Amino acid sequence: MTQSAQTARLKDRGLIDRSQSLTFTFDGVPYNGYAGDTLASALLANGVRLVGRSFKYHRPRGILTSGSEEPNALVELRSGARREPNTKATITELYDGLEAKSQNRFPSLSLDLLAINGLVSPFLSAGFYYKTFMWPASFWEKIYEPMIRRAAGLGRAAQEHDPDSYDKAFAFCDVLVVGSGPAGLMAALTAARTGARVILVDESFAFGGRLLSDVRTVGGANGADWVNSVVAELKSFPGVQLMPRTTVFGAYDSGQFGAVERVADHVPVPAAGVPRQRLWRIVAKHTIIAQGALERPIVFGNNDRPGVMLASAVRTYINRFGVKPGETAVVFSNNDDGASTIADLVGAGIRVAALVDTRTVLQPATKSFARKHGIRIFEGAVVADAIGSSRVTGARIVAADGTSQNIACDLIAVSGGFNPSVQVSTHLGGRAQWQQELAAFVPGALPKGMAVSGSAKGTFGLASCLKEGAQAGEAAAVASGFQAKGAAVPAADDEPSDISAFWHVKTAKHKAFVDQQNDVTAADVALAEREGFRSVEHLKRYTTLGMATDQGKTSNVNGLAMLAQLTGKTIAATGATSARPPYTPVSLGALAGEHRGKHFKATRLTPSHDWAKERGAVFIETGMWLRAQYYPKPGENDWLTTVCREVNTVRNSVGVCDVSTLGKIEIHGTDAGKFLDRVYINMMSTLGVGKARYGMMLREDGIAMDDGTAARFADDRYFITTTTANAIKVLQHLELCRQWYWPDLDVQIFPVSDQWAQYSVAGPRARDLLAKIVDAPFDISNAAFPYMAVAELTVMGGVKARLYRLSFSGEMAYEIAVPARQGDRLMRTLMAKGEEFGIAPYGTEALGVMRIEKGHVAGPELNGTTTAADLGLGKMASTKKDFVGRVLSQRPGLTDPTRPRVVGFRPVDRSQRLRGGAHFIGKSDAAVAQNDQGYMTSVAYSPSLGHWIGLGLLANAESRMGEILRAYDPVRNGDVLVEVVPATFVDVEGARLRV
Amino acid sequence: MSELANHTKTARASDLIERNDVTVTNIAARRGARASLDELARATFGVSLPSTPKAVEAGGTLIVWAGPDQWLIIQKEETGRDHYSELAKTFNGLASVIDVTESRTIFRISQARPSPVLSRSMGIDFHDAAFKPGDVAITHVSHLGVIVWRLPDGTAYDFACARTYSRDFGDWLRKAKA
Amino acid sequence: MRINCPHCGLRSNDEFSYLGDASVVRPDPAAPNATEAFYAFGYERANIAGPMQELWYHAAGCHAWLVVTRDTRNHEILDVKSAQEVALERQKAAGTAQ
Repeated sequence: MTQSAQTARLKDRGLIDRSQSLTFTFDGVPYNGYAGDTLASALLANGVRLVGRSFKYHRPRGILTSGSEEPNALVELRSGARREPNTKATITELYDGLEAKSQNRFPSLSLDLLAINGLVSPFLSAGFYYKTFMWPASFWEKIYEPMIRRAAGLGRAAQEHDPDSYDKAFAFCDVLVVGSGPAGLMAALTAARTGARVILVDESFAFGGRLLSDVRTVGGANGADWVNSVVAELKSFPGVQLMPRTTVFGAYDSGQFGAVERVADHVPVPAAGVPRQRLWRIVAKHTIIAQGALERPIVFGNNDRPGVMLASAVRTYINRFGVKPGETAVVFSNNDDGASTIADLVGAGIRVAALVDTRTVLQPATKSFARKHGIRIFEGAVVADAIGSSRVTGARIVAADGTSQNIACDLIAVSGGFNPSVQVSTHLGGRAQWQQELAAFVPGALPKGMAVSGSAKGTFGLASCLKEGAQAGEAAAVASGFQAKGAAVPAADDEPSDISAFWHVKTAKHKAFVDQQNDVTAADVALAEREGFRSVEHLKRYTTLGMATDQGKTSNVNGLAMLAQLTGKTIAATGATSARPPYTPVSLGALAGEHRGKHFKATRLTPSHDWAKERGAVFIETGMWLRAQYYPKPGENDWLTTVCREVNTVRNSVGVCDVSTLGKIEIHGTDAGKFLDRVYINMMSTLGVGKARYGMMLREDGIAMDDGTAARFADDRYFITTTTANAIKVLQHLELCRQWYWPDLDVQIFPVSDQWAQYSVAGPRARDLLAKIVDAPFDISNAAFPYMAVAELTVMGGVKARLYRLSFSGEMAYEIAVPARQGDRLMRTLMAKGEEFGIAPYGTEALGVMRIEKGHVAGPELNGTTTAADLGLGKMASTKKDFVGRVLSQRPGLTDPTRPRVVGFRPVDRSQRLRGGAHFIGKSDAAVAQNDQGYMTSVAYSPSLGHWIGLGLLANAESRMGEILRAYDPVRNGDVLVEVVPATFVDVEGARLRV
Repeated sequence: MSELANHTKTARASDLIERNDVTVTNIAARRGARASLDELARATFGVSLPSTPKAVEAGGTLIVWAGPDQWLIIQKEETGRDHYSELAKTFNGLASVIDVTESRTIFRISQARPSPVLSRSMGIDFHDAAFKPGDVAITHVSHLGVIVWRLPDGTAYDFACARTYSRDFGDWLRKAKA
Repeated sequence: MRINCPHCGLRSNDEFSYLGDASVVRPDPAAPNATEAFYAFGYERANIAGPMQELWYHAAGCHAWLVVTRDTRNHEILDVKSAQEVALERQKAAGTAQ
């Protein structure tokens, strides 16, 4: 490729590396730039001024700033899966192969048909959403919204999965310094010299802040050279972490900060193993915010035309990037920044046609400099309008006497003063305070451990910033316990920073933009005020001023100052909107980190997971667990066939189910029994050693919390189980009871869910099977080890195990537990030894079918609204003791006999399918909400009965046995007649349990 | 079953290993027995039970603080010895004692000083001066609970995570040790 | 927010879970007005603007329940105590060990 022109590149200026030429494209056109450029500086170097179209009116827009406050120069960066919309060209570091496109234009940037929006702009004024599209309501979704989305809006997000990885990281320090301008560098250096652990963060790829952008002398050296020497010294301290390309986007409580490091945003594709971005949580004992100040524009007519640029940005492009932002400039200011700017423009060989200042008397030095360089001076004057349609061709100046004249130029450098960056320092609620003499908001009350230093605090002179930074760095280090080393502050001058507040040129003839990103004009602010939106927060919401990707960094203060003028209040009384994190946009990828796809959440695997996988199990996610749902055999093509086979095998022979996911907790101590009496509704202290008992826990409000079993292995040693879903909740509850309710009891609680692999072995041949693996002399006979017996024993030749004679299936059944690492072996052994009985493994589906057949309640019934009585377990509650939930469970509302209770259902026509969630309605009642009598909680096809069965919550259930009801399920067109039956369908007497 | 051996080819070739050769016993002081338990522990191990998040070494046994009045006793597996039963007998009446050998998978990263990646990997400040040899932290990593300790001799970091999470945790750790 | 667990040290709030007001005490279930007292215990809460005693659980840490004094206006943590210690002192003061 031929070397492109870079016609606007200055020969002898800039901190770019001219030995490294980089190629990039903008809207498909190739250009060249240099290492050290931003996309914006490289575009300007190539004479590209028009970079986008505005949000609402599709007006041509250029580059206003040189930083993250940019409202206009938003581009789509990269393509395909990496396409990233609304990227600010002003902070996008140029890399070889960079690909950028303008956004929000149709069909092309220079010819935008939707610019006609500008002609219908009376309809798009403040609040237009609320007014224009109110009626008819049905039009909103189908017509208005798609139309607005087509016409308005910014870039397009990628449609594909993000191919890059994102990382999360933590950092800890004594002193966090945010911003690396003169104040930040001095703060970091001073703190580092004491030996403190320091983190220095800057959003740019280069440290130095304004010292890179302005021609200044520090300690006798050129500013940029001084920066290099400080950075070199900082690098020499082992306790210093330098973090360029990192934005602190939010301050959080107790000295925590969120930051995004753009690890690989400056390369086309991240290297292998390198994340694109890294989300940091920084924990700092002390923090110094030194983010500087952002220049604000003055609101005048056509102030959004490409070629209107902040004066400080003009200097940045000249001094840091070696780029001419224009050929002929008019400088418009209300403060001494204008004088600095004409000096740099002249120094770079750019013609300055005029200095227009709203102040009536300028410094003599400024005037003589202007005279010397042929610059016309307009005191007490304004630039009322920019002239030109797609770029600036002149400025209409209204002089102090009211006369108006046009001056040709292609650059209007504007300065309305500086807004200290108070966002991060006010994130925790300290309100920014207006300082009239600075014409700026400065930080309010600061959170503990935070200091603000330099121009972020309204201290605008260089010498003062250096000094203040050094003091802040030392104070923070000392407060962190380090010895002050006495900070040597390098010599520098304070530049003049006189200002006279000025916001809005009222003599403008054209649209004057307050918020360029949201296309909010001066007229919109006035309209909002007329319509009664007179608080800043209302103004913001009604006009959208200050929203979107720049969060109003160049517009908020102007907007509220104009509101103050309109309402006749002071700015202090008008106040500012609250800044909230993030300071600049944070990508969702960075927030998600590695938690996406299969790593969205952790997966818990049971000890015999690999065996189940080999066996071809179908798994289901339950909470964090992956559980075997059913084990299809070759030839079984639908799950119901498999599940029926598994159930039948258990009911007729023997099956084995992995129940390792149950919550398991050891409760030890001399008061363990007493403790369990207080947390279960039934009595546990009377449980004999070697026995187990079903138990239920309530919440203190009387609602059922969880159920499970308690087994007693010794006087002072119980073992309880919880449901899989509630394991963590129950542990937390038990710890609350132990530590807070009854701290004097001798109870120790150990969560041991992961210690044991546990299997249910169920069916008439269960004992025959287990007899083959228990070690002698354990007697597994029914007489020696009856229903609800428990024992510690060894199996498979010396493996420690626990055996529980419990049944969830209703069959003669056992649960056997072995240390987790033996689980796989136990499962394989059971399968091998059970072969002669035709053993089958069964999953959660068959487990569920059998529990419904037996009327055992589970998650759908233990749903946070049911009491023990609702679940048919009211009689379990002991009346001889207190327990958690007892008192409130006796409230009238919870003991009302008409409350829905669990009962069984079967279809009148046995061939019909039942559906969970169907509502019960009287047989001849209409299907309306007033007739609702309860709903079906659980259903299953019962292979034992050959038809569907269900459990449900039904009002007045006990007295309605045999009644026929409608089970109405409008979502799936279900309307089935069902009969109310007892909740137990199989082995009603429970005889099989005890054989 | 080894989480690493089954799922990585280089389980033992790197500085990340899974410790499969230890027994872990959890002891918790009975109410009011803290002082007498400590006396007995000193007689048994020659060291006090740490009352802050510390791990102490006692003749091949590592005693790791595991919460208020709770410790993990980590001992090398020996054929023919039942460490849990011995400890249960020793501390009978003064502590509740359970075998938790299988509850957690213990990974070890042999680093004398934390690598930069390890340093930024968790909500624990791993800086050499902040997390010293013998320090213990009970915390979590991406919602996975973990007890981490730095060996008293400073040669390695051990991470004990719930066994059923240990494949995911192992994945995380391989990244974090880089 | 960072909470200084008296057992583990300073940790970020993502390790903790929150229960609520620590100034309410589980009433005596045998008292004649137990129903009213439990109702108040379960449901009646002051909406405090300022320092408030709260129960937090160090779920991802040492499993200790803590009584945390937090200023609800700015999340400043003013004090953290072991809930068990607080409860024992309360029992001692009231002479109500159970």
